[in-house]
Amino acid sequence: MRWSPNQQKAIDTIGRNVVVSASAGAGKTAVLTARLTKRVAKDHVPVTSILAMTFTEAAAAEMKSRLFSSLSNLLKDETDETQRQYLQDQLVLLGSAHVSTIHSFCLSLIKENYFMINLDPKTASNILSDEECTQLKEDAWVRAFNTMLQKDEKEFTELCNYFSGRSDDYEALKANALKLALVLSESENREETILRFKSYLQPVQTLSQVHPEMMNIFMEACRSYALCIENALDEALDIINKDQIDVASFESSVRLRKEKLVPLKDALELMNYTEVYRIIRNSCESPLGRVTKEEALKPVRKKIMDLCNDAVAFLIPEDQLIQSINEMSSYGHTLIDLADLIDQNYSQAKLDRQAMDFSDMEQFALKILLADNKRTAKKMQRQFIDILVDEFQDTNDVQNTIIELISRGNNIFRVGDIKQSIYRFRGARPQIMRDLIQTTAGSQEIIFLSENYRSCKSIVEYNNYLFDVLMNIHGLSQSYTDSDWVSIGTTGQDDHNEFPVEFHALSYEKTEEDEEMGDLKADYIARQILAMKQSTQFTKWSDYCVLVRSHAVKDKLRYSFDKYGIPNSMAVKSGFYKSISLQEIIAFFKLLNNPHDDLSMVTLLTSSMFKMSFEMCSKLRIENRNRSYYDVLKALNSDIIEHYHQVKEIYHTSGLFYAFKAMMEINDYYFMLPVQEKTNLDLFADRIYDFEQKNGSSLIQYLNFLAQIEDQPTSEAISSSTLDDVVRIMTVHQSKGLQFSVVFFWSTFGTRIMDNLEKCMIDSQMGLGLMHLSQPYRIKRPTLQRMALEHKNTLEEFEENIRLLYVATTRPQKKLIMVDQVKETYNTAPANLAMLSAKRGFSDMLLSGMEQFSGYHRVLPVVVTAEKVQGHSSSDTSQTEIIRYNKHVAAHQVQTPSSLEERVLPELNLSGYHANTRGTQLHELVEHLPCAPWTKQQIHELAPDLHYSDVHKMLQLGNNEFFLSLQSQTIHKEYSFIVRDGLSLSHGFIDYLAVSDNTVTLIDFKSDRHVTDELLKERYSGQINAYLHALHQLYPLHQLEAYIYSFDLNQMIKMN
Amino acid sequence: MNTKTILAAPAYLHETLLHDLLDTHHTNALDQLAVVPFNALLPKAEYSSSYLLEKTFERIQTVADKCPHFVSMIHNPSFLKQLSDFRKDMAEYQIDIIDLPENDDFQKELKILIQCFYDLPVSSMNQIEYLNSTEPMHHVQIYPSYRSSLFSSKVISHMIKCGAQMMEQPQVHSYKTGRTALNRRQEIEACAQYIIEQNLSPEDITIVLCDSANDQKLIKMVFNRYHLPYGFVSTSEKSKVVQLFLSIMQYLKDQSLNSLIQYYHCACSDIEHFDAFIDYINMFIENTAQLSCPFTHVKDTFDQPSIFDERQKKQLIELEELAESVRSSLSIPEGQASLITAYDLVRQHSVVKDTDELKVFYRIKEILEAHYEVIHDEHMFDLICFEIESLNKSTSHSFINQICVTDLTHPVPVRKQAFVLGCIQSSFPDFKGCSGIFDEDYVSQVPGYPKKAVRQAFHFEQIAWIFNCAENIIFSASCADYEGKGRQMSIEIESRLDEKPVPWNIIKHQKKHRVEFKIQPDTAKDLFLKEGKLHGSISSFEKWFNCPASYFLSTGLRLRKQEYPEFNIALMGTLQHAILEEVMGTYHKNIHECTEEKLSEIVEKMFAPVIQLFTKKRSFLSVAKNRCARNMTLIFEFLNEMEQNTDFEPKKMEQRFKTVLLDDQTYSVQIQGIIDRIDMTHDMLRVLDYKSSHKSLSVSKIQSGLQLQLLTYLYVASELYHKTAAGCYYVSMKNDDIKAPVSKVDGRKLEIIDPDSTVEMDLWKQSHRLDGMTFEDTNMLDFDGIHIKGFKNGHPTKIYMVEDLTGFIQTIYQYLIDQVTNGHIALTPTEDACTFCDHFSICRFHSLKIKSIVPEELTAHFFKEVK
Repeated sequence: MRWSPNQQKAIDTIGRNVVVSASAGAGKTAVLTARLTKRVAKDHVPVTSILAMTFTEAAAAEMKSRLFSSLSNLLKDETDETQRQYLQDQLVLLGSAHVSTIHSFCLSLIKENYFMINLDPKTASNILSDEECTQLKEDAWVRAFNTMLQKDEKEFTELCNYFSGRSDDYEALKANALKLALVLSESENREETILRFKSYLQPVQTLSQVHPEMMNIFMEACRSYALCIENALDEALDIINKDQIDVASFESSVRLRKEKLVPLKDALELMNYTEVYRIIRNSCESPLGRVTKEEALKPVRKKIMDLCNDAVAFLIPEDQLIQSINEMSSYGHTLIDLADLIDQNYSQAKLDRQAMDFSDMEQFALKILLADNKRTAKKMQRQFIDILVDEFQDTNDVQNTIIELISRGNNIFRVGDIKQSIYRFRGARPQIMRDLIQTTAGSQEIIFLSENYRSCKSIVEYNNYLFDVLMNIHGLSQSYTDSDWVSIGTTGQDDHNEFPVEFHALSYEKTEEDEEMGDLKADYIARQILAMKQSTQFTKWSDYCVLVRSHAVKDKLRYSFDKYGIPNSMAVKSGFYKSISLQEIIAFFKLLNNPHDDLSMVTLLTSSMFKMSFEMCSKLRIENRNRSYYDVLKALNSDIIEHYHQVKEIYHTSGLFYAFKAMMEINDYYFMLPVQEKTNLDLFADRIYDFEQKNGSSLIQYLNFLAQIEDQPTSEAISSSTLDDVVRIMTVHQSKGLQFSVVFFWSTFGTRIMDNLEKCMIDSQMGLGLMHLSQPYRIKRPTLQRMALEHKNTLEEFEENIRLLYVATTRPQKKLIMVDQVKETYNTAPANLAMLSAKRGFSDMLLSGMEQFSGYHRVLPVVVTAEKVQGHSSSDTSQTEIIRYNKHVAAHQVQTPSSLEERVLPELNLSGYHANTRGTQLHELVEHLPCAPWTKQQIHELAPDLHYSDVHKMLQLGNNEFFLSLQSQTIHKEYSFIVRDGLSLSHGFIDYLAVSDNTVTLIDFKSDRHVTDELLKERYSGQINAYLHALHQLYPLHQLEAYIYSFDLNQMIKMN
Repeated sequence: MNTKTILAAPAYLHETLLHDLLDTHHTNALDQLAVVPFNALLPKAEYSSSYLLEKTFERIQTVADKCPHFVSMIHNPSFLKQLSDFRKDMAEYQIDIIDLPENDDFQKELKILIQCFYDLPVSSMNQIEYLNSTEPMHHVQIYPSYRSSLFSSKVISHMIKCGAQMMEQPQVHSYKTGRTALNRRQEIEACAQYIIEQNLSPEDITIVLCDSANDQKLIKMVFNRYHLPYGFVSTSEKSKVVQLFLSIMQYLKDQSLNSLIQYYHCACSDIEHFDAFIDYINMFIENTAQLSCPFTHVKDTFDQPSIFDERQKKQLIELEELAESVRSSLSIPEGQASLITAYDLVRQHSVVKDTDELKVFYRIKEILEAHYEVIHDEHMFDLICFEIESLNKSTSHSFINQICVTDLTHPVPVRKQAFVLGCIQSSFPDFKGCSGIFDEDYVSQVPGYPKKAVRQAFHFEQIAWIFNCAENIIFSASCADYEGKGRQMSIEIESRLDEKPVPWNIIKHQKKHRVEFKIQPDTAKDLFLKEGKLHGSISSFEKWFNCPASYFLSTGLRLRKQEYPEFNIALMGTLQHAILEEVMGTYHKNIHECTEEKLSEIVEKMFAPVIQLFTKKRSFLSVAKNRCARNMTLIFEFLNEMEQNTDFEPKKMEQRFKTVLLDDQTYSVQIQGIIDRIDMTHDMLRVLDYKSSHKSLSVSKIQSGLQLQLLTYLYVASELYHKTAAGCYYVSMKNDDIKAPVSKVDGRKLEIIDPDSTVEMDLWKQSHRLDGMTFEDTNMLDFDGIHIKGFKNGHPTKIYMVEDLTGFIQTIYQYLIDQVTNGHIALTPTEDACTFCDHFSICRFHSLKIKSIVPEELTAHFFKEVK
C-alpha cells in the first residue's frame, strides 16, 4: 500500500500527542491499523500496552481483526526466531488487548478498581436496562415530589403550575426535572454545576449584575439579529448594483438604515443593552423606500422587513428584562433543587440495588481515576505506552478528562473529523477537538488527511464547494479550511456518470396537503430506484441507500417500497412493543393471568396462531353476549383452550420464558412470521429471559413491567444485514462510516429546532432558559437567559445540521441524488446566517451550493403526478412448507439406584451435628474394618473421633448373628456395577455384598434416625429393587436376597 | 472401594463412558469397574468453602483499623471472596506471604488483610496435601478433560506420576469451514436446517456453544421447532429456590413493603386473584402493617358520597374483595424465628419438587446450618445471602444417540460433524485475566504467580479441543446482535479455517396471514341491532366514522380495556364537571355570588373523597386540588362575565336524554347521552359542552361525521324543548399558555408598534371564547361579542342555516345505519382515530390514514355559511 505523505506521518509520528483530522473517505481505518501494526511489530510496543478506544463495539472488533491479520502476515514472512516468537506472543495477547469502546474501557476500569470509590463490585456487572432505569427514575421522581412539597408547598405548587395549566398534569415538570437531573449526573462536577446553574439565575437590580457569561451570549444574540439585518441590507445593495436598478429612494433608505447600525458595534462592546436596544429599533424604524415596480427587489425588501420584525420582537426594554429575570429566579432554583433531589434519590436507588446505568460508567471511571491522589490514573499511565482515540470529535468533556488522566502527556493519538461530529444530542463537544487543533503550543502534531478514496471526482468537488460555503458562514464557529479541501486519492475515482450529483426538484400537478406530498416524495424515490435498477449499472438493490434526517418519514418510505415490492431494510426507532407479533404474545401473557380478558383473547384468536375470522368472532359473540370468549370456547371443547392450558401449565412449572417458547410452537406460529417479526420475537425472548433471571417468574410482575414500558419508543430488532440485497433506508446518523454506490437524500426546506419550542430549555453548560410566565393568566414571554440560550442552541443546531449534511453527502461513491419538493422559485443566493436564521432546511443549503459549483451536477425539475400509483406485490421467495427432522429418537436413561430414595425434606438441623457426615463415617468404617466381629480398638483406630454411642452401634452390627453368618462368604464392599437394559443404564455401588455358590446377599446400611422398619422399607424399596435388578443380570443363576441394616434400630431388615 | 479398575472422568461423560465400556466388553453387565469423578480420588475436603469464608470474615474485622483504604469494603462479601480466592491461589501456587508486594499503601493493607487469615486452611487444601501423597494409582485411568486452572492440571499430573494412566483419545484430522449469519437465532436456525437438509444423524453431531449462557435457550427454542433430538452436556440456570430464599431473606432484613411484595411475587404468584391483590396494594397500601388488617379502605370510602359512578364503585369494591380473599390466605413471615420460618416456607413450596432445584435446596440447607450461630450478625447475613445467590441450578442430560450440545469447557468425544456456534470475538477464546483488587498489575508484582501469557496459553490449550472435535467442523458467527450492534468472528478461529467464512444459506419460512375486517350483513344486523334499533352514545357513533373497525370491536364484539379508576385526566374532567354543575346549579346566572371561599369549599368537597380513596397519591392530589381551585376561579370569572352578556339563562345542567332518530325508517338509531348545559330564552336555546381541552368545531369534521356530538345535542334539545336552535358551543376549561404580544414593524406605515397596554386578563378571555356554530343572527347570545368566537359588535360573523341541522342529522345517521347494517367494518382510520384506541393489538394497523369515510357528495352541501 502506498501512503500519502500525511498518512505516512500519521503512521510514524511518536513521542508526542498527535491529532489527525481525517475527512470522510480518507482511509482512516487503514492508517490506524498500519500505525498499530508498526507500533507493535516494529517499535515493539506490546499489545497489552496499547489502549485503543473506538466509537462502537463493531469498530473495535474490526480493528482487532485487521491488526490480527496484518501481524499474522508479518509473522508468515518473518525469519528471525526472536521476532517470530515476539509476534506469536502478541497474537496470543491480542484477544485480551484493550481495544474497545470508551464505555467498555470505563467498565473494565470500574471492575478492576471499584474499591477506590467504595463501590460494591457487583455493581459493575449489574447494568440496568433502559426499562429498569425508567422505573427507578419514576420512583425517584415521586419521592422527590413529596419532599419538595413538604419543604415549601406554595413555592412548589407554583412550579407545578408553571409547567402546566392543567391541574392534574405533572408530565412536563417531570420530563424537565428528569432531563436536568441527567445533566447534573453527567457533569464533571455535580455540586459545582448546581452552583453555576443557580448563579445564572440570581435576581438582579441592573443588567450589569447578570452573570457575565450569560450576558455575553445575550449580547451575541443581539449582534446576530443586527448582523442578519445588515446582511439583508447588503444583499439589497448588491442587487441594485449588479442589476443597475434605479431605485433612489429605496437605496438611500437602505443606506440610512445601515448607517444607523454603525454605532452598534461600540454599544455591543460596552455591553450597553439600552443603547443596543435604541440603535436597532432606531434602524428598524427608519423609513424603507418602496420597490413597487422592481420584482427583483421585492423578496429582499420583504426579508428586511421580516428580520426587523424579528429583531423588534426580540428586543424588550431593560426594565422588563430585569423584571422577568427576577420573577423567574425562584422557579429556576426550585427546579434545580427538584432535579438535584431526583438525581440523589435515583443514585441511592441504584446503590441499593447494587446496579449502575450507562452514564455511571464514565462518572465512576472518572471518580476512580481521581481518587486517592490519582493512584489509578498513575497506574494506567504506567500501563499504556500508546493511547489511540478514534472518532475523537464526538468526545464529551468527561471522556476527554478520562483520556487526559490516563495519558503520559505525549502518547495520545487522536483521530477524528470535526465536520462529522453529529452527536451533539448525546453530549458530544466538537469544540474539544477544535480547540486542540487550534492549540499550537506544546509538542502536539496536527495532521490533515485530505485525500478522498471513496467518492467520484464530481461528488468530492461538489462537497468541497458546498461546505466551503456552508461551514464558513460568518457568525458560526466552525470553518472549512484549506486543509479540509479534499482531492480524490486515485485516478479510478474519475467520473463515469453524466451527472453524479443531482437535485431532483419535485413539483406536483395537483397540490395537496404536505402530508400527501411526503407520501408522493417517498413514492418518487421508490420509482426512481426501480427505474435506475433496470437502466443503469446499479443493478443490485444493495447499491442504493436512502438517507433521511429523522425517523419520522421512514414509515412513508417503507409503505412505498413495500407497495412496489422493493426489498428494503430500515431500523425503526419506535414500535418494538407495538409490533404485531409482540402485541399478540403480550396478549397471550395477559390471558394467562386473566382468561376472561376478551380483548386479549380476540387478539390471539385473529392472529396467525389461530386464524379465526371476524365473522366467526361475531357469531360467537351473538350467541353468547354475556359470556367471555374463554367460557364460550371452553364449552365448545375448542383446541384453542387446550393450547391455552398447556402453555399455562408450562408457565406454572417452568416460568415465563418456557411459556413463551411454548407459545411459539403452537400451530407453527413462529415459523410463518415475516423475518422482521421473527427477529423482534428473538429480541423479546432475550428480554423475557433477562427479566426472569433478575426478577423471578411472577406473571403479574412481568405484566406490570410491560404495562410501564409498552408505550415507550423502543427500537425494533434489526432483521437484515449488509449481506442482504436490499435497499437500505437509514438516518444520517446510522449511515456514519458507511458508503453506498447511490445515495438518495431526503431533503427538506424547513427546519424546526425542537428545543427552542420547550418552555424550559436545558443546556449542559449554561443551565436553564425559562420562559417568563405571568400568572394567573399564563402570559408567556422570553427572559434574558431564555433568549441567550435560544441563540446558543440555534447556532449549535445550525452547525450540527451542516455537519449532518456533510455526513450525508459524503456517503455516495458514484451518485448523489437529493430529493425535495420545491416551490416555483427557490433560493440560490449564497448561504448566510440570515438564511439559517430563517430556519431554512437542507434544500436551501444544498441549492445555494449548486449556484456556485460548476461541476457535473444539475437541478432536475420533475413534475410528479398526484395519482395514486398501483403498486406491485413483492416477489416473495419465502418457503411455505416447513422442513423438519422427522425420525424418532428414543430417549436414553441413566440412573443411580441411590437417587430412587423416597425423599423427605428434612427440617433445618441446628444442632451442629450433621447426619450426613455421621452416615458417611459409619459406611466408611464398615468398608475398612476386617471381617466381623470387631473390637473397640479396631474401631477407634479407624475413627478416633467417633461418638461413643456410634462405637456401640458398630459393635452391635459386628455381633449381629446374620451378619456374622455371612462372613465366611466372598465379601465385596462398595461393590461397583454397571448394567444396561435396553435404553436404560444403571450403575452404582452396593454397600455390602456376600456371595456364595448359590446365593448373593446384599446389605445396605442406613443411619436414618427416628424410623421404623416399615418406614425404612417404604423409603428404600426403590433403591433396593434397582440393586436386585442389577444383581440379577450379574448373577443370573444365584438366589438373591436383600437387607437393610438400620444402625438406629440395630436391626437387619429383610426386604421382599 | 475395592473395585479393580477406576476410570476418572467428569460426571457428564459417565454415561457415554459406561456404554463404551459395556460395548468394549460385549456385555450388558459389568462389575468391579467404576467410573467416578476426579474428586472421588482425592482426600475429602475438611472444611467447606462457606465455613472458611465465614472465618475469613471474622478475622478480617480484627484488622479493620489498620486498613483505612479498605475499611469501608471489609464487610462486602464480594471483596471478601476476592481476598479468600487470592489466598487460595497463593496456597496453590505456593506463594508465601512475604512475597506479596508492598509498593504503596493499598498493597500494604492488602498484605495485612491476607496476613490476618493466612493460617486458615484453604478450600483446596485436600488437593494441595494430595500433592505430597505417594499412594499408588495404577488402577486409575484418567479421561482427558478440561482443566480450569494450572493447579488442577498439576494435581492430575501428580496422579499420573503415581501410576495413573491418561487415556488415549483417537486423533482426527478435521476440515474446518466458517459460516456467518445476521444474528444468533439465524445462526442456530441455519445450523438446524443444515442438519436436516444434509440428512445428518443426530448421534454424529456435536454442537459447541461458545456463548453457552446465552445460546442454550436458543438451541432449545430452535431445535424443538425443528423436532431435532438433542441433549445438553451441561446447563446452568438461575435457581428458583435461590430466588425464593433471597426474597424471604431480604424481607426479613428490611421488613419493607417492597420486599414483602417481592417475596409474594416469588412465593405466591400461583394463587388465584393474586393480580387483584397486587393491584390493590399498588393502589392503596402504603406499609406492611396495613397488610395485617382486612382490606376495607375502598368500602369505607364509598360509604361517603363521592363523584365516582356506580360502575367505578363496583369495580373497586370487587377488586377489594378479591384482594382481601388473597390477603387473608397469606401470612407475613414473622421476625424472631426468621431463618427457620424462611427455610420452612421454602421447604413447603412446590418449587422443590423439581429434582435439580432440590439439589440447590440442600446446598442452601448446608450453608444455613454452617452459619446458623452467626446469622444474627448483619454483615454475616449479607455474606450468607451472597453465598446463596451464587448457587445455580445445574443439570446434565443424556446425549446418547442425540445431538450433543456442549460448551467450551466440556469437551466431548469426537463425532463426525461438529458445529461450533457463536464464534465471535467476545466469546472466544474468552480469556479472563486477573481483575479486581488482585488485577494483572498486582499479580505481575507477585513472584511465583503464573504470568498472564502462561495462563492465557493454558486457557487456550484447554479449549483448543474444538479444533479437532469432529471430522468436519463448521465454525459459525453472527454479524450483529438483535439491536444491530456489530460483531466479528473470533480472530483465533478465523485464522485456523481451511476456507474463508461464507454466509449460511437460510430457508425463510413465511406465510402471510391477515384477518380481514369483514362480516356478512346478516351477522352485522344480529350483532349491532336490538329490535331494529342501533343503540349507542354519540361518541360511539363518532367512533364508527373515525374507524369502523374500532366501532365493530368496541360496540360489536364488546372489547374494552380493563382499567381501574385512577387519578388521571378523565377523573379530573369529572371533578371539574361536578364543580361546574354544583356552582351553576346553585348560582345559575349569579355566579358572582360564588366567592373564592365558597368555590374553595366546593372544590374541597369534591376532592375530599378522591384524596381519601387514593391515599398513595395524596401529594399529587393535594397540589392538583389547589391548582384546580385556581383554574376554576378563572373559569367562573369568565362564565360570570359571559352570563352578564347574554339573555340566555342556564336552565338545564347535566341533562340526560334518550331519543330515537329515523323512527320512520326500516332501522332507527337510539341515542343516549348527557348534555352538560342547555341555556334558554323564551323561544331559543343553545347548548354548551365543557371540555378539558381547547376544542373547536370544524365544518369539514362535522361533514365527515367526526364531530357529531354538539350538533346532535343541539338537535335533540331543540326537539325536546321545542325551541329554536340558536347555537352550540364548547367551553374550554383548559388554561394554556398564551404568547405575550410583542413589538412589530407595521409594514405599511413603517413604524414600530409596541404592544398596547392590553390587560393580561383580556388576552386570557380571548383565548377562552366559546367555540362552535351559531344558527341565529341575534345579539342575545353575546351582547358585547367578546365571549363567543366569531362575534363582532354583539353579532355573529358566521351563521349557518338551522334547516341544515335537521337535514344533516337525518342524512348522516341514515348513512351510518346503512353502512353498519351492511357489515361495513373496514379498517380505515382517520387521522386521530388511533390516538386513544385500545384495539391496536387486534387491528394491527400499519398503513396510511384516510381523511374521511363519508363520500364528499353526501354531506358537503350542508353548513355553507349564510353570513
